[in-house]
Amino acid sequence: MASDTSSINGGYRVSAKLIKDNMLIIILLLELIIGVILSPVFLGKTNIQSILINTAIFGLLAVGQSLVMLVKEIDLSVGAMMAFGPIAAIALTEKILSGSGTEIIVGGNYVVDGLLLIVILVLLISALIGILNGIIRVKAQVPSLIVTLGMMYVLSGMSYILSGGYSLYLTNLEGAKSLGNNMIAGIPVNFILFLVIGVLVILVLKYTKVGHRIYSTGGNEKAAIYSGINTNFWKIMAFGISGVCAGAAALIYSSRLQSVETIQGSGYELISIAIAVIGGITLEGGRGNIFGAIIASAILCIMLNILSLVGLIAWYKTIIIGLIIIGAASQHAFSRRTA
Amino acid sequence: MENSVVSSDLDNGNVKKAILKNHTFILFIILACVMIIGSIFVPSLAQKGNLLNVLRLASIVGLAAIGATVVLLVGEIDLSIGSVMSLSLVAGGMMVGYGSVPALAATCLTGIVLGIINGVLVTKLKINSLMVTLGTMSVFAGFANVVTRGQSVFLYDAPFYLSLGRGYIAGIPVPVIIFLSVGILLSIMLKYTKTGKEIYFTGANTRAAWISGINTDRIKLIAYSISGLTAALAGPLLSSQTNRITPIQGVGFELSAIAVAVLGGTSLIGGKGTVIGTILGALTFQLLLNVLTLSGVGTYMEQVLKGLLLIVIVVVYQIVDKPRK
Amino acid sequence: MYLKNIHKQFPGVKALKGVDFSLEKGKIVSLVGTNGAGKSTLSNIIAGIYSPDEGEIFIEGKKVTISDPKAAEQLGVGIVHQEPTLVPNMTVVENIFLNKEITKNGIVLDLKKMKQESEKVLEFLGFHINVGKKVEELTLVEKEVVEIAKAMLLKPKILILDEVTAPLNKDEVDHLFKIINDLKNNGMGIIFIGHKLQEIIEISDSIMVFRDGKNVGELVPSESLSEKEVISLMLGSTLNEDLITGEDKDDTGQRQEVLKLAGLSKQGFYEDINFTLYKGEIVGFAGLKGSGITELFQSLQGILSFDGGDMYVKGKKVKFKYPKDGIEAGIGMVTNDRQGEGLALTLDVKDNIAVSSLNYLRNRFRTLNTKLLKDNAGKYVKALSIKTPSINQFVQNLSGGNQQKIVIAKWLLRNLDIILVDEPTRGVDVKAKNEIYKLLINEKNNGKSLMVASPEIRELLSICDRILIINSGRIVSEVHRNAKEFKEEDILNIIHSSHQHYTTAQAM
Repeated sequence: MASDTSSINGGYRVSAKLIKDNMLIIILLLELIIGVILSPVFLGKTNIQSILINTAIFGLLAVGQSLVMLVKEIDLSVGAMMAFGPIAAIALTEKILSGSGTEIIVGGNYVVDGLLLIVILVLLISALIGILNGIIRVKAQVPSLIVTLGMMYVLSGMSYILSGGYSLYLTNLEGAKSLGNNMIAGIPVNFILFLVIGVLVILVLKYTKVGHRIYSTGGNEKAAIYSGINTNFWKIMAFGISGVCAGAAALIYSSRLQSVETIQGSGYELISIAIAVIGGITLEGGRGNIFGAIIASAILCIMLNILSLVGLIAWYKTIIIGLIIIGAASQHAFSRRTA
Repeated sequence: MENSVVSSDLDNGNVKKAILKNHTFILFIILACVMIIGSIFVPSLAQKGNLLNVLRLASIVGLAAIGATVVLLVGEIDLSIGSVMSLSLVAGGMMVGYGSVPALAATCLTGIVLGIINGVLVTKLKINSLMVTLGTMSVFAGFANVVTRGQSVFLYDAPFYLSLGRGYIAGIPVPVIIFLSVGILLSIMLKYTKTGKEIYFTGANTRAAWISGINTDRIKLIAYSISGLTAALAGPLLSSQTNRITPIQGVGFELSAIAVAVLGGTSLIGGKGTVIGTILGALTFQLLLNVLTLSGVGTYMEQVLKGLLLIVIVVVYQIVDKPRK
Repeated sequence: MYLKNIHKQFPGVKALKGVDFSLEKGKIVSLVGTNGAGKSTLSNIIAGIYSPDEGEIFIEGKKVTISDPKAAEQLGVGIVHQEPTLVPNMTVVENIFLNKEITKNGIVLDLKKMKQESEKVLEFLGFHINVGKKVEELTLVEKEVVEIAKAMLLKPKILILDEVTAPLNKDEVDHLFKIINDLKNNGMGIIFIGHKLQEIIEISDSIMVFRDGKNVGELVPSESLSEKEVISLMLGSTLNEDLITGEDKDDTGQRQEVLKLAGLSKQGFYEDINFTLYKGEIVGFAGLKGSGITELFQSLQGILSFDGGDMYVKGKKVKFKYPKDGIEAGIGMVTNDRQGEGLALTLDVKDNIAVSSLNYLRNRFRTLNTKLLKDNAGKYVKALSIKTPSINQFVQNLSGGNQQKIVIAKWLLRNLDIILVDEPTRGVDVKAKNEIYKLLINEKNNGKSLMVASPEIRELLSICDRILIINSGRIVSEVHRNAKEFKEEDILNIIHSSHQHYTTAQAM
């Protein structure tokens, strides 16, 4: 405020803290400026829309992953879930509906009917798998790295078995493309959905008991147990929500491409962890916030977009993502040590 | 008086119980069961050619898993194994014009250097190794593609290189010989050298190890170098079977390697596990996949069972490890 | 409240063997006893953390089972745990209201009300803490206050205070005691657990003394009750009187200097330590928790750095960078946290003994000489009478005393000249205690030099040639074996009387 000018020393300290606290937003703004300078099409309508859609997909995964990391766990199965959710839901829908009536749900490789049920089942199946991850984690005391790694294998294998490795196309399914492609006032509807979910999670964490449960479970599990909190329950919940987020991300992804691929989402688990870490969430649990993860997903998507616009091939992006993960993690480690 | 019950508590019966609870032993029984039941239902399993093939495949993932085991033993993790494999293969691929030996030397050297990079980042930056190697996994994979511009290197002019994956010595596939030699060497190293003991101690309790005078950073660095080297060694065994080096050859290997190590009884917390267990783990893993393939369950079912096997066996280990009153 | 015949068994240890306990409204009962005597186990049972194996609990005449912490809370039990139970990254309000949140309509948190309520509780305790601050940003004292506020929030009928005064200075303790007395006069029953006997005598209506999982007596504080009486009841006749060596090596001329500290300092921990250790002696270090002795010992092996003064080993000036350097100069520390810092529990006895000496257990091929390793480990297992079925036994299966001996054996095998022992008998049973004392004295007679720190003065009296008393990181007194002050009472007096430095040590 006014104190910037009153004392140089104090002003410096204030601005240093200001920069540190708003680091992510500053990076985001810098990126936008760099994007405008480097590419004339950066601010183009379609480009911005494509950034927003990607942000919605990665952001949803990152929100789920962040919750899991806040309770001091990790979820490697979200990528595989993105393929398995829709594939299993479509297969199940076909079973249910063709059993009850005469409609054809899947003709050739084209899905033609049953959209609502498919959507519900995607979310339901993803949630159940997440909960299953959580239950195995807490009941059998198996580290989440192993549980979700095993689950990742199981899910990707099941996806292949159910789909036979073929893509399913949604082009003949009425309404299927709306989530991925429709706009409201030029803004992708899925991005709005993502923001709504993101804001909702932030509000719930901040203004209800849930936040206290999640943060204490990850921050000091013993203290939480001593306070009578069922930390196992909250761990299972976090995995469940992560599953729902992966399901929602899968819906957007498939709707956008109007197809369901057996390999969709593969490798996304690592990107979601990367975003969470960039957003300030650490593996030691109980630290960081969802707002950071949301900003971080925008940062990552804009960066990838700029790199594409300036003509950098995908391989360089991989390198840069890796460097950012290491950089972000070491920055957290460093600031913790000096704090 | 009551407090010194421990000594009388552990008589011969308990020693027997301890053996039954041994992870390696459990795995050995599972392996034997898979083998026996498998050959009853799928007669072709026990054929020499098939078994040699199982061994050959087990050797490749097993080699990478040995490195993963050593890193897990010091209480860290290495997610970059697959990318180290790709990048070191590619480095060798660039040298293959000069002959097989320079190519292999370049591969191994690159593997060690990449391992050291991981180790330095983990010990000097003091970042969680999961994060470090997640990052380097991405970086190394990117470099592998950048260096080759995504192209494959074909190996038709490198007979020695090819023989690594395809050759036999005294009827035994060369990969198996390499795998077992590395396995035995590292087993001896872990059991009978100072460094080996220090690896276990560092993983079991890093702070106590440090206070006991162990240079724990050095030990972690060694573990990562070994992991880099074994990942690099596994590469040529794989690429020589497909006749070419591709920049994505190692993709996914890190998770298979860790899965095999854990299957072999290695703990994710550190200080617990053996190379012998990992070797058995690799054999069990590959044999099971083979049984499934031969019995026509379908290739994709393998993936599913791989995941289930991993979860189930770790649950079993947890149960037998649980202290009873 | 009334507890009857409570038993509790942990793997390897019987923590409580039939304890009866009663607490009336408006009374303060203190639990005293050495470490591992069962005080904390009992309080954890009342707080619902552990459930008893046997026995009954009555609150206000009704028989109850306290299955979990939440149940205890509902029965009106509040507890301040000995170990920190705050979540570092959460604010003071959030911590105080953890799992007791106030909501507006069942869903939305009433942040304003919770803020007011927590300020009110803190106000009542007499502290002004910004309740929006994160707990990790608080000082030690403030954290303790928040712990108490957390337990006080629901206005419990029974309040358990487990070692709450440790981080507080005299004024703060006085202030806290005033509050405790207020609470008591309002009809609250209070269970107070502590080590500072003076405080306990001052505050309690009755003192329950615990020894080895049993309550061995109840004392009523009065003008005439001395700390000594409490102490003698606490200790019983567990010490073997033969042990006390009684000899005094005063032949200064021949004494060989092995370690010399000149003005050694570490900011925030210890200051201006001047001390010389001679060959073949045991020097005791007495002081309260947090007096800086542990950190001093750590510095001497290179586990912690020091930032002022000089250190000489056998006349040679040294400054260690790593623990390894200390070992190479012949100094090893047996830390007070043997499971966290001394042992690899999942490895076997022989590897734990040999870990620091592997350089000397190799053959000419530079691989380990397994036979030599086994022989040496076996030798020390025998010499120290470590009770283990074999040297291949995992250390986690051994009792505390045997584990402690293994840590000592590690340094003996390495043939170190100077061994620093921090709380040699923490969590060790009586029989093993005496064995460890014998062992330490034996090593002294073998020409080793030992520095021993312990909260149990009797322990130091029985094995040491002289005792240094440390307060707030400074040496305040030195008592020789032949001095008339070489008595528990006098030493405790010196420790307690020199409280005034305490605040300076807190201001880091």
